[in-house]
Amino acid sequence: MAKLTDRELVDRAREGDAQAFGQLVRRHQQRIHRLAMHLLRDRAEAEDVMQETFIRAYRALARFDGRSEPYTWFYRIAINLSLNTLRSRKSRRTTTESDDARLDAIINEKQTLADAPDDAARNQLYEALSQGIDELSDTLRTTLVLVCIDGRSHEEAAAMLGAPEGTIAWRVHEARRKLKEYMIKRGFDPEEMG
Amino acid sequence: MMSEGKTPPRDLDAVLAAWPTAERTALEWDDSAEHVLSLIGSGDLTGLAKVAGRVSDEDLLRPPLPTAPDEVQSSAPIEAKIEGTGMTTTSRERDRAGFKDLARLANMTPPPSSASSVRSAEISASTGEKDENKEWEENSGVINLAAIATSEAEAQEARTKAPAVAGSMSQATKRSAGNEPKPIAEAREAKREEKKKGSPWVAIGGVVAAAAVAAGVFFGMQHTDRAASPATVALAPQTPANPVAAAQNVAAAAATASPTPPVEHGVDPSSLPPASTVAVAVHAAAVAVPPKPGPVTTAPTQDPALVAAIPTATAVPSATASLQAQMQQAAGVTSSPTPTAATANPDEGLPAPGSVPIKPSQGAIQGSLGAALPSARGCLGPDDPISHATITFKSDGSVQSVGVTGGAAGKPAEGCIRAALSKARVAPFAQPTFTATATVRPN
Repeated sequence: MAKLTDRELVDRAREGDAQAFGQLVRRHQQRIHRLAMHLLRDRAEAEDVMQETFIRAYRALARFDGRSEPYTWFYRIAINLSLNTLRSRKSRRTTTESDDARLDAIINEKQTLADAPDDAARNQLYEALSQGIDELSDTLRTTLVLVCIDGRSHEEAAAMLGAPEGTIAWRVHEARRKLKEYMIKRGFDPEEMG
Repeated sequence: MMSEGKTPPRDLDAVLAAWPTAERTALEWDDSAEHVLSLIGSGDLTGLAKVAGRVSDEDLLRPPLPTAPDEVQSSAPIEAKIEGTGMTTTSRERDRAGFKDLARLANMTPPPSSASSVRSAEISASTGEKDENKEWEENSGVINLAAIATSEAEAQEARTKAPAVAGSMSQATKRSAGNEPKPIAEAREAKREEKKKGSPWVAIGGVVAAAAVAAGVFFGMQHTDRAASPATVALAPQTPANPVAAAQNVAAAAATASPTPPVEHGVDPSSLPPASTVAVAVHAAAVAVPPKPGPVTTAPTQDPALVAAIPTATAVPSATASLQAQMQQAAGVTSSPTPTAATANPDEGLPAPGSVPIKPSQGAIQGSLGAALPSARGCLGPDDPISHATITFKSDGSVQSVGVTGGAAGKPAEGCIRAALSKARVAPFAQPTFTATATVRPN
């Protein structure tokens, strides 16, 4: 089943080929997990969202109209699930800094490198960025994560979020502006922050 | 550069794009996928409620974050403030108002210049009338030529019909009270005149007008020099005043916009249109469209700049013509391609002097790379690792070089990514090169 396109895999999965859908899961689970991690800042919840994204997508395969790429569809489900989780979480608990799953990789990398001062600064930078991103609204944060962290184009983000590209561009601009302001408050020079 | 001795961070976008991901082994990911498949295969989906609760499939497939109403409104000023343009919404509105007034004026019959004394009499009737809108209009920087022309015309009508009417507001003024200014009190007029005399805006306006005229003369000379421009060559003999002369007349008119009091006859120099409008008038003169006989007679209009501008604008005095068409007429632009437009084409690719930004805006970079990235992603297989690309743009906006690091480096995909990203292009900028980074992930 090598090198089949996503659409072909979806077609096969619709015909009952579970392995075809498994191939789709393997292709996209890392990015869906990463997205959920950035939106939820919680490892367990991100794992749950990732799994549920694919399960719900499988259940709704018949509704996939093929007008967009399957991954766009996965992203949309994952974002909806994440936002729903965030809404239900707000009344339950708050995230602490030490619990931030987004910094896992940075902390792990830090332990493997020799240059401790640089690592500390890098850790500070990403900590500040994480907190700055947390200050953003769900809309701005989600758009920023999609475009600036996940590397999706405005067109792709527009398809995923259901907003025009111009709105996506404005959201990215606004998110970057607010993030810059936050970083300035934290002592980072805006000239170097883009 | 970070303060307090922190290590300098890279560009914000680069930092965000390079956000490290917690790596898992392929085996772990495989287990995760198998777990999902086993849940699907078992059909036991009761555990789903822990995340999504009672969210229906329809809700999950809906656009998560569509445009909110406030985003539509708030996006406009942001877009108007795109870096480098220096164009604000307010200034656009002013320009719009200026063009609108010019177009409106172009459709009016110019009043005789002797109406000013009657206007004074009429104005004296409405003493003490306070109008906030008029106050704003006077202070907004938008000189409403249409309003002045209208009030003068109405004043003349009032004088010819019944001089005694000077004691009351004219009917014509009442009819046009919806969007045309009413006569104001004499005291107010005197105050305004005094303000104009002493106001620094007059001097600033004069300087701006002079600059616009200089630019107009420059472009006019360029048009004249272009022997290949059939419009200028063909129409020049029919033009009552050549473009340079017209521009000089405008310059002369602008020069009178100094604190010296306005002449009694002719158009008040202080009522000249804003700089942009003057530039349009100069441009119209430079295009040198001959005046056509029609309902508009230029004799009463003493100002040479308006003489140059109005006939051009009123060449087709259709009451049903759209505002846009009137504005185009006023600006001397025709919708069909003309030889004049053809001669302007070679300049279209070149940025206007002073408009080149020092470096490309983030939006331009993102837009440019965003368009090129999908094809770059296509160079990677689904399981290929992430690669990073460093794109160096030349000052003309094209890509000078593309460096690829990461998974694709040294592989055939590197060349593919280079080729894909080399197609990116941004608007020209001032500094020699500009480097941007992009993360290329497989689709």
